[in-house]
Amino acid sequence: MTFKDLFDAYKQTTEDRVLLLYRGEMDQDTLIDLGSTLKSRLGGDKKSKNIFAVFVELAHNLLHHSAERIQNEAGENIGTGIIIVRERDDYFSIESGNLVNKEAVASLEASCHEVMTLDKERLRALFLERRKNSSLRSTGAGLGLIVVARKADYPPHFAFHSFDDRYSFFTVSVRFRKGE
Amino acid sequence: MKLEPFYITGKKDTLAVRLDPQTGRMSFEGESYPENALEFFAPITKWIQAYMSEVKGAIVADFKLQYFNSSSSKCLLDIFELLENHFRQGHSVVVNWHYQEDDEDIEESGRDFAEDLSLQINMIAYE
Repeated sequence: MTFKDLFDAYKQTTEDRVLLLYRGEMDQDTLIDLGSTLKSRLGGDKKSKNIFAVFVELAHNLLHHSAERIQNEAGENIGTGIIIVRERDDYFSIESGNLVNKEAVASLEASCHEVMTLDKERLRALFLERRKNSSLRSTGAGLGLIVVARKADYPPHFAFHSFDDRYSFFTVSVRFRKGE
Repeated sequence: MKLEPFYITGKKDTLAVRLDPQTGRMSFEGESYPENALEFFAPITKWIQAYMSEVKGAIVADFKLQYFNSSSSKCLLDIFELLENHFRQGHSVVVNWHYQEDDEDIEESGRDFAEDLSLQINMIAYE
């Protein structure tokens, strides 16, 4: 990175009112630290609890499901990715991104589509049904995605970009209305 | 072998848990979003099952949570299902769900658990 690139990144993140930006391995200690930082930056905002809840689900998604993984010092296998929280005049946003295996895209896309199209009452019903009837051993039972959609003020956006022959880049984008 | 009391100190991402075999009181307090919820809750459910089969006594369970993530929610439901089962077998089981009075999310999640169970959950607001 040149000084010019760094200055551009600084200007861009300032303009975007970035509250939090992290790219790297999301181990549990990192999640706890970033979560505390996020809470304090959101101050007493009424949406703070919902934003924190979505942050935790997205960060755990990186930790457990990212296809880009590293071994940490303790020998644990940790997922890596990127997560950004921004503030705008009338909303907060959280975006997260991570690599997924191309073979996994179709089923993930179907789960995303499902939660995108349901209203709050149906999301609640789906959450209760999945919580009762599925096992956590099957990779979190997909409960996290439903929670993300339940806590958000708008339907979440999902996208997949081809990264190379093996991987796609999966992004989740969630917004929260301010001033309620 | 006698069932020993079970205590875990709360951390930022895990609950403070106290399980007392003498009184049958069980309490869960704090926030829960561990890396692996199954791993965290496994010894707790194991203890509760041991209490139910060995002590076979009454239970008063207090839940005072401020936040829990989706996989913790599944593990909490597992605990409630154990409690419900104990109740169905004719034991006294009282479950108290404490929520801060303006915390609608925690209040609603208590009602969500109640909806899934035949066991009554007492909703208790605190300031």
